[in-house]
Amino acid sequence: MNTALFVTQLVNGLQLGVLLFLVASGLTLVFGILDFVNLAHGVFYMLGAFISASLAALSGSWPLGVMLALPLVALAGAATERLVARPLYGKSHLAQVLATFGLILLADALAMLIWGVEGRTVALPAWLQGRVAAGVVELPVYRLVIIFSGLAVAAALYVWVHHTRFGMLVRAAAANRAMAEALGVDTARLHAVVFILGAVLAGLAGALITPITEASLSMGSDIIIVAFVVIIIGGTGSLKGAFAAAMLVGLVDALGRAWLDDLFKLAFPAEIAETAAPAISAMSIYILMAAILVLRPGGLFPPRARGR
Amino acid sequence: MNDPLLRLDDLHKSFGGLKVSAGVNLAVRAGETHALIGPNGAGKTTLIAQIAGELRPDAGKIFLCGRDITRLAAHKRARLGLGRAFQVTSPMAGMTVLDNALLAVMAQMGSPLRMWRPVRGEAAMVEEARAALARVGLAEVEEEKARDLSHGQRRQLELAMALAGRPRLLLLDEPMAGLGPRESRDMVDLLCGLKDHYAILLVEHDMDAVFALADRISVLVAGAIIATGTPRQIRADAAVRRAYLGEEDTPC
Amino acid sequence: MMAALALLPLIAQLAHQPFWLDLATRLVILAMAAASLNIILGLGGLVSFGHAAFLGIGAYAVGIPVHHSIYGGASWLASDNGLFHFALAVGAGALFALVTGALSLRTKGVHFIMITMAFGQMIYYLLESLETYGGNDGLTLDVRSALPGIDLDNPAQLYWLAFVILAGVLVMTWRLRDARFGLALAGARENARRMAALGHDVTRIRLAAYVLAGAICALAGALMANSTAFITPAMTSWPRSGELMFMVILGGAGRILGPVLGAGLFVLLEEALSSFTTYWHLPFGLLLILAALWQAGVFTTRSGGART
Ligand SMILES: Nc1ncnc2c1ncn2[C@@H]1O[C@H](COP(=O)(O)OP(=O)(O)O)[C@@H](O)[C@H]1O
Ligand SMILES: [Mg+2]
Repeated sequence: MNTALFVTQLVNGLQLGVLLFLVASGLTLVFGILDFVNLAHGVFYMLGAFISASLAALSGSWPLGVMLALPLVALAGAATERLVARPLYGKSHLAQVLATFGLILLADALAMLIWGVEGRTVALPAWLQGRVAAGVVELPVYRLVIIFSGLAVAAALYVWVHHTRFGMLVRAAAANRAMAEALGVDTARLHAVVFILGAVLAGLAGALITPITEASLSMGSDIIIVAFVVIIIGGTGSLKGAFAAAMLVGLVDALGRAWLDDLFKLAFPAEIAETAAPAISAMSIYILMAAILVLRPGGLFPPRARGR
Repeated sequence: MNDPLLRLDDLHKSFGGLKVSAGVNLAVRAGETHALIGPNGAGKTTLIAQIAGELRPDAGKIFLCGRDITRLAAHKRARLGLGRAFQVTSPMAGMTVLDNALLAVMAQMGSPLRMWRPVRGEAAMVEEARAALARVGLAEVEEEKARDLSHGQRRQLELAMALAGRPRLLLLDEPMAGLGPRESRDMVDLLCGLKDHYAILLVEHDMDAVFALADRISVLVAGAIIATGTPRQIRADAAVRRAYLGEEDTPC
Repeated sequence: MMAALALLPLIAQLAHQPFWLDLATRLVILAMAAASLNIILGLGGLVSFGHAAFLGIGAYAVGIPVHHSIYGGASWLASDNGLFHFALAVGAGALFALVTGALSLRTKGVHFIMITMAFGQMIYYLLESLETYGGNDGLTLDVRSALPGIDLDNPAQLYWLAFVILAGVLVMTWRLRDARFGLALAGARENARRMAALGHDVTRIRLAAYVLAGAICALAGALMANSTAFITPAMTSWPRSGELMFMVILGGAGRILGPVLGAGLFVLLEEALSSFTTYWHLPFGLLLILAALWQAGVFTTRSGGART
């Protein structure tokens, strides 16, 4: 393991981390505030990717495509909240799971109908395609852009939640639902705003990753589980927890892939290391989750006792 | 035997800034009915929850027959002989009265992991469950769903389930709450019949019932025991009168 | 219903419709998997969303020994003995259930759903990382499990075997429902806190159910591998778990024959809808959403179902 590889993987891990944070932050608020299991949150991630890719192709400008895609994702979020989620607030988790699972199947089928089974790629504008020298390595500009825009969103969320009145209500509701209701908060509006905000953040993450990978049908179902792992590690309803856990998961995943191979070759015969290293690194974040569950069942930032 | 049945040693518990147990010391002797009274919000239910193992105290110790049970899980304490009836009645609402009683008996009778023989065919267990129901007068309704019972009957079922486990100490949290005058009198009669066979820690607001049943009374105010004594001593205690009995006409 | 299923191979032969037998085999194996889920979800009320992992564990418990018996390597594991395969499937399924169950059951509600899902997905990524066994492309079984007196290459005999095991599983579920174990599971489902106050170790009871269900489902997976002779990690992806859950709910959670009914409806629905359109997930998803809203009483009363 040399320094160049280390730095590259560090950047990859951070990039994965901020994207996970964008997906998980909305999701953790929806869990914490609404006690609502939204399996379909990954749909917004996928929609953000496809819509921005299509609009970028239409308009010829990728940044414009992303700008235009976000309001459309917000619209999809609003419709989902109104038609599927809201009737199920306070109902059994089983019903929520079934409904949002159905929503995924529906959305995936619709996406297949509209965009086909092939993925959609987008080209970055020239000014985002370069590389910058960073000591021993050259890093792609765009990855740094993702990291910094993700961090900027996290900072904006932090300010919003901690320094605005509405944000304070969100925090109060995440910590204690009954209390927020007793304070006379307009919960229906609060719920809708949180849900739609979550959808937009996930959509942004999807749009940001598309130039690196592509927009694909399975991307939503793939990310959602990792987002769950982030929430379990971070603690339900906690933005701070989601941020810390997202970074942790991103780094463990990226560095695990690079390092475990070397590590195993030191300890085991090559033959075993060749099978075991990829297997363990594929499971690394789940092993991390299991360890956290043993040490701190409530996650890094456990929710306080909730009045219900 | 010098050890009391149950001993609480300087128990502390807070919720955030709210001290609900502020150094509680209490002993329940074998065979006695010990009433715990105090105004609403004094911390009686939270104290019961700590004794039963549902809440962990922040500091202090709990002894059952001299054994330190402070860190023992709730179900293990129940098996050591703590029977509990909840303030808010909570039998398994969707199950029959008999099934509820069977669950109580089963907890003390070997493994619950038997997978082949029907429960209803285990004669010894069914007999014991029926006996517990008969003792509280619920024999007639054993096949009804718990949720279809009247409030008074649910209270009786709650008690039957606590009894079915053959407890050494019964923890009763306001067994009279929400009962009509008639039902209350029945419940007092029932408890009178029980008090010779079990040690009881009784939380209750109904003072007539308390003075009729209790051998000793402890008064909990704002998380601390301010007096312990016979009903007579408690009635005469100036501090208690000030802090508690004087408020009797503003019911909680 | 069971009688009709018992006679199916004869009917299929008389009608010269070998395809019916394929379909019925799939139905019976899925019903077995759903019946195992019914023990935790229906009887125990635990919303476990990683159940398909056990199908994969059982399938690879056949595929891996068969692979080595033909291509060499790992002589301690290489075998085409069906009894060994089935024992390995049951043992591995039970072990995985024991470890992940003990961890998952430290939490409840939404957390439990997410964690079972994550552990399920862990198996998916693990299988995908095993290049020796085909990785993402999966593994073709060149021979089926060898059993004394039964020839699994004969579709009718495979069907009978699966049918008899399914019948056994159903009888077992029926007996255990009315035995101590079923009563304890029902009590824990209704009110876990009260159960603990009575002296029941709720976690132990639930863990026993989880392990039993995992073992049975892995056995179903071993049969599935023999039936399709081709296994891939995709068997374990979380949408498969969602389908199993759908079968249990559709057939009536907690009802003994419910899983058979649910699996039957699922197989028919899949067949009917997918012959009608490649986008069959669209109506299927819509159906799920409506079923969930209906189950939660959204269309009728305002009262919710039991919470997890
Ligand atoms: N889980 C909890 N979280 C925060 N406060 C609690 C909790 N449970 C009880 N309390 C508070 O502790 C105090 C004592 O409650 P409780 O023991 O129920 O009183 P009592 O049974 O004597 O009426 C009350 O002010 C109550 O609001
Ligand atoms: Mg109380």
